[in-house]
Amino acid sequence: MRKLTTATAVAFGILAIGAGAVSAEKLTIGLASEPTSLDPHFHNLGPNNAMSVHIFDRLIAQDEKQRLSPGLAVSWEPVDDLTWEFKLREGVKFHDGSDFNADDVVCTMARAPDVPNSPSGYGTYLKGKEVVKIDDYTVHFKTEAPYPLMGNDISTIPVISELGCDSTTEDFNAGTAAIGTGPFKFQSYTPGESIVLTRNDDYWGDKPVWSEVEFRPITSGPSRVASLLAGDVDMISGVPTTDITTLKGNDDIQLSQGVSNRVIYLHMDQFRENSPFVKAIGGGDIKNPLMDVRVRKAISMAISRDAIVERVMEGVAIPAGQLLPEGFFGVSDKLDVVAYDPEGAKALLAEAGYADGFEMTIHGPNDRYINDAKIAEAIAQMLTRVGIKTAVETMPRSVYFGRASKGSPDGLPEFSFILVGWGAGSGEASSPLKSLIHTYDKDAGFGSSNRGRHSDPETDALIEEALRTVDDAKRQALLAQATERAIENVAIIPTHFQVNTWAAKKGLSYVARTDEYTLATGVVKE
Amino acid sequence: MTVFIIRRLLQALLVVFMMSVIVFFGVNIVGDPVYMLVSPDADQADIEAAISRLGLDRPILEQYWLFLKGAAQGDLGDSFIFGEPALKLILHHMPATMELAFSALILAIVIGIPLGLYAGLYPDSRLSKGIMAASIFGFSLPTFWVGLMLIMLFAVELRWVPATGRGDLGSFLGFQSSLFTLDGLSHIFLPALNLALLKISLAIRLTRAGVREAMGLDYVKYARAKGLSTRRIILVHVMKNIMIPVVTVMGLEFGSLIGFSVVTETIFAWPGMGKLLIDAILQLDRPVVVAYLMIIVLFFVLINLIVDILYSILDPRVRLQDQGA
Amino acid sequence: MSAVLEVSGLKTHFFTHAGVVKAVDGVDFTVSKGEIMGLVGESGSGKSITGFSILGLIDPPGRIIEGSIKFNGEDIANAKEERLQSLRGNRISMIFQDPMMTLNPVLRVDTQMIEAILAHEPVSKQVAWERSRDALGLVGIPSPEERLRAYPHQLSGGMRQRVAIATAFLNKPDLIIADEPTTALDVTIQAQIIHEAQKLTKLTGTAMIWITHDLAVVAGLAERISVMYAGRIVEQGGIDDVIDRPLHPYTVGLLGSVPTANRRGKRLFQIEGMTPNMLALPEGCAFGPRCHARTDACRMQPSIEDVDGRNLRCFNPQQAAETVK
Repeated sequence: MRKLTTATAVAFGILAIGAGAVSAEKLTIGLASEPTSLDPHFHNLGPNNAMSVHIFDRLIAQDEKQRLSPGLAVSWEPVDDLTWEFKLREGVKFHDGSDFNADDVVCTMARAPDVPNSPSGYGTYLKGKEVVKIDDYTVHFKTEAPYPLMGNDISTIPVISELGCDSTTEDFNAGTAAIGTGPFKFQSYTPGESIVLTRNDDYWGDKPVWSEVEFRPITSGPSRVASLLAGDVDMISGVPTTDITTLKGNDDIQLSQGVSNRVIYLHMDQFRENSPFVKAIGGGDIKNPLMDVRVRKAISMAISRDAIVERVMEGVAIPAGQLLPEGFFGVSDKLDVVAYDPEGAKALLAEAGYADGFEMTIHGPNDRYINDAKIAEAIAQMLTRVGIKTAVETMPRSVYFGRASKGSPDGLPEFSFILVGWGAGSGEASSPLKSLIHTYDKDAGFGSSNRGRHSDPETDALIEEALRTVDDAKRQALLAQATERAIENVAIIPTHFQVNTWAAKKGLSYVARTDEYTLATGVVKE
Repeated sequence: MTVFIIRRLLQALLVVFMMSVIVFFGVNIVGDPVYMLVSPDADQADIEAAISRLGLDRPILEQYWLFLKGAAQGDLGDSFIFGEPALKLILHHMPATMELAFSALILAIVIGIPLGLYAGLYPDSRLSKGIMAASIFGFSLPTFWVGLMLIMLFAVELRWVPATGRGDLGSFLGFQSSLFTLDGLSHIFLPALNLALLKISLAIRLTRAGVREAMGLDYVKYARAKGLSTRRIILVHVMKNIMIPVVTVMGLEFGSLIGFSVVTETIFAWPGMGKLLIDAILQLDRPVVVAYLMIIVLFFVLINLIVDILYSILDPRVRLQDQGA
Repeated sequence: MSAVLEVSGLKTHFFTHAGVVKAVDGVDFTVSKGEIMGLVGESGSGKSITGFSILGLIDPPGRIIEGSIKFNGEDIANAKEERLQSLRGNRISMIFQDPMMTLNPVLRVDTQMIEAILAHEPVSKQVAWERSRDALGLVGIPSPEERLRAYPHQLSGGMRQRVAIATAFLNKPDLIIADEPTTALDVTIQAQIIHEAQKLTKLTGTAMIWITHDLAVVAGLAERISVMYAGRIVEQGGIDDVIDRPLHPYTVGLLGSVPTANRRGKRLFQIEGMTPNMLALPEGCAFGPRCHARTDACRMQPSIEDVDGRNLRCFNPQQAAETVK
């Protein structure tokens, strides 16, 4: 009897060791925001996109700085002014064993803009583009005008198989259709609770270190931090700025930080002679001072970006002088952060005829960007010091954005001076220039978020030309020039770039991403 | 009794209908859901496409009429954010919330009533004074803060239980619940306690007040004059009397436990309906908000009905409306 | 005849914030087996407190500070609670004034009767039920089985009091203390109840103390009478003696204020003055301020003397009897 039990014990022991040897590395991540669906085309939303990167590859991949590199396409070149040729990678298999080829690409591009019930799909990126299969591993994208940003746009579309093209969003959420070519396979999805992925051992690219990853949405900041400290999760995203100092001092925790593609800036009413929230001192009517570039410049000078970064953001931000941080495509090397100069601001205001200043209200959201309400308050204080008596009104984003875009009685932007942010999804400068700086042109799709209705024909011309210029170097120069003009004309006032913080248990670090995605593939062991 | 119940249910339908009107039009006044949904990259054309896809370009009255038509067939609309039917979403999250609400109620009864009984019988003892002081904390400390403190103490420092999330599910008699596994119990302990604290305080104060009042009444003196044991007097004579207000209040509180445990669910990342609701409100996911509130109203009416029936069982002097004398 | 109850020098004082209330301040009486004694006095005279003192049902701030209560020879004035519990409802029963307040409204009649039996005797529920039914029959309640299943509020006032009486007799006690049992009832029902009580005591040989403020009630019922004023007994003796020839001015006044046929047309006699403030009793005889026969001697506290075959606490008895006529 005893011999038998000893033998069994030994047997179990060997099995256990054996199992361990096949590196069962499990990673648990606490997420700040939960994906709303596992259907990669359902909603163009940060958390959804980040999750889909694990299961689905794109034709072109974006690295942590949003630079493009080959994904399921090994090359993409313009073969003529109106056509881009994508050569597809061979020998790639979907998780269910089927082969990846051009048919999957064609049906993906057809489905992505058109998912039923989608609150906001990928139509923007595929507008005006026609996909044609040339052979099993070659596709052509045709446009009506030269389109240099083809790569950027296509890099946003997750590729699904023909099986997936026939499926509904519910099928994806149930997992049956969540078949991709990505480094991880779908294991389970319990909404609100957890998403579990397992390693794709047949992945064509770098095999992930982790054999299993569990994502747990923990939306409350303090709870998320507590979960990390309690050892429930190995890593968390979205570390609240208030906790960063404490965590830095904790030897069991490792922080990873990186600048994001999101700029926080101010839009000013530049199209109404009588702006609803701008008044003379004492409350009387006043011709809109924000239409005068000197006033706008003065405002920019009156803001101490260092103070915002140091005190409001607790050091977790970078002062901004333009639309994207250094290193991004289209950034100008001639622009510095506007220096803090309150005396100069007062002088400029006087020169423009506002020696006595005026009254204004700044509007902003209070639950969208990191410390947004506090930033608005700080800015209001700084402006008041140079004579622009500024009141603050912040509100939840569900109320804010609708009003900011078309809340006025005639369906136009309601506010005069707003705090808002912009994340450049494409990873280069044409994104903010096109949507924030270009004159509002509904039919052409320009200036969709240009709530100040800034309008400068020369800047517009530069932007439009850049969007047609396929040569990278030329385009970079045009974008930089357009940015310089925009800053010169104070079309908007950028204050800072957000820095995102991830925290992990000792021994793990995260390769911070400018697109703010939290990817298991970016978690490295030290 | 049947007439009474039927009448109540009809009233319920009326209330549910009115609730749907208020919420439907109310959410519209708050803001435009479109701006919560579309990607900022989207241009004007995309925004308009989204608006018409969601049916938000039609006049509000038409939207409401379409909603009613669907509701009559059991379809309360699809969530703007998740794309799935709102009803399905809510029902999916409901078991987690029910578990939590139920556990909190049990804790409140099992801890609160005995403590309140003791405090009522021996009001001058040090322990009683301590219990009453503690019950004040239960009322005044914010749930949010207490929850975090519980996590910091029990999960981070002591590592006795996990910080957040729901545990493994187990099956029993065809029901699935995390209450049936050890892992599940360790996960539900802190959030149930957090949720229960307010209810425990309420139960303590209600029971104590009831006991204090009852002890001075003649029937207690009479029971003593009959030579009954103190135990019987308290457990049978007194308890049956004070249970009436306790049951009434706890019943109503149960309704709010089910519908509005938002803070606790958020802190503990508990995948329940409350969290679903707050997210839906913040993102203007109108179909979910409307469906949710309609369901909760139904719950409240049902609970009220049960409490009324229980009341009439506990107190024979009470006759439900519509019953003969 | 042997004495069932011998009370000597009983003093029950209440130590309140406002001062000491000497509710019972030196009371002596004896009740013999099978005897009915009337304890008469106005509100605040201490008669009910005397009754509660006997059963040991005085709660703080009150306390028996002096005296002995000998029940069947055993002094129970300072007995332990367990001993008292075993006597209450068993060897000494009590009937309270208002059965609506004293019967527990949420328990059925049978529950409340059966528990009185089971508290003292290990019989089966069935046997207890039968005894209860029989007892109800004895007090003249028709269809006792139905009445047993009823709740107190479903019975009329007189019916409830009969239940109380039946309950008091359940365990065949040696002594029943009836505290104003008919005060809350109609005159006609009163007569019935008194009749039932009398019948039962004769039947069972139970002694009874009938506490009341109404002399008329006690006149046709009791054999002996004790008149109380301001916590003391002022006159005590055989019922016929005291009623025909009252000696104490207070007793005279009480009798005089009873409306009877031969007083028709004449003004009702009133005792002057107000009921005494128990916190501020006058020096000397407590009745002094209201007494017609008051003399200087009355500035001293009179003690009980044997006058004419009865106990009397007064310096001026003879004159009192005459002034009234």
